[in-house]
Amino acid sequence: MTGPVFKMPAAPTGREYSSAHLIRIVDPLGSAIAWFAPEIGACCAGYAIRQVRGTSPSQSVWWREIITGSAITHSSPLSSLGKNDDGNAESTWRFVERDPASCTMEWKIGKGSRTEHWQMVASLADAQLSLCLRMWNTGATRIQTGARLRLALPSPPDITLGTVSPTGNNDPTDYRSDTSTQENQEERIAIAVEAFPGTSTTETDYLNDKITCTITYHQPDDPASIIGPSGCQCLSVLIGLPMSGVGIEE
Amino acid sequence: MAERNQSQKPERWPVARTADIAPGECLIVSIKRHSVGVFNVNGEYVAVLNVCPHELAPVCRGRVSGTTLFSPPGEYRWGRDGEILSCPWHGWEFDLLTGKALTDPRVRVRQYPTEVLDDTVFVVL
Repeated sequence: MTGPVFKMPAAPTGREYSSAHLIRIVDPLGSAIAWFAPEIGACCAGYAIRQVRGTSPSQSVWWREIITGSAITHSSPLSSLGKNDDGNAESTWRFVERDPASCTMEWKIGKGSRTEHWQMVASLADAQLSLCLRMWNTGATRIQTGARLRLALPSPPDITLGTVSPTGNNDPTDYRSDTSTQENQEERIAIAVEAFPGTSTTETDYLNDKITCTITYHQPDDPASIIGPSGCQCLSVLIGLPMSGVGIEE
Repeated sequence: MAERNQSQKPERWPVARTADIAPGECLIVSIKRHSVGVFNVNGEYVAVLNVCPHELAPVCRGRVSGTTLFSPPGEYRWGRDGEILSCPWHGWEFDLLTGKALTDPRVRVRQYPTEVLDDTVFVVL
């Protein structure tokens, strides 16, 4: 056995000529690929899964786009403070590290007693994309934040996967607000919301056998959108196709 | 979705007898369809996903050797034999003990935990 040689798309659709530096990660089996742009807010520039039509030897391989873009937004007042501790007029996300199947990006904002540390860890396994967004309050005072992760799916249908944001009532089902408008779309989205141990758990299915998404939101103690000193919030999304829909070359 | 995640729980896989992998050598095995190279790094067993982070080459087919060490100007010192893996496609070099690339420690190969029990090498994946 010599090992795999993956044949992957060179760039996400529409970004073939983009000057932005993209970090590529791949599934260890070669069944999925995703790109991230640290300098564009740590966004996911593309996520595609390898599909196989037909049976060998006449099978054809194609890449199904699952995500065409993403955005992390927040309502933190710290971002308007101006220069931070490292002297930059405006801090931005930066690349931290990567291996073939995962990458880490981080963002430090604020200064002095009012600082936040954000970290995005993206990884691929079993053709599923995992996005884990963590927010730490590294300052001395309580801060208000409001992380939202928006994922854009390709068209058709031209839809946006549910906006994920804390609502203050600890009801996980509130994080799927946008999905209610998608019921008539040809390609529906299934979202199962769960929480870490110690918090309430709710699971919801949306009659979808294609793209699936699991959203987990963890906020230990404080009311939503408030993080105390040394506190942390975590928002994670797991998205992909059911295993039966993934083509893997033997 | 939940069932699928549970099936991803890491397991311990026997891959070789300790005598099967001499120091400086590599055994490439398939675990759950993952191609993994198991290296004997001077008696320590290291498991690496057989995919280079640069251009996805089968990195474990590369040469294992050493590297130049820090030294005064005009002096060249060689060391760390058996600890450095060179990718066969473009020559990227990785520290097998940490997984990090020598030229950019932010980039690394993917490693998996290993265990040795009764002369058998296990990979946890």
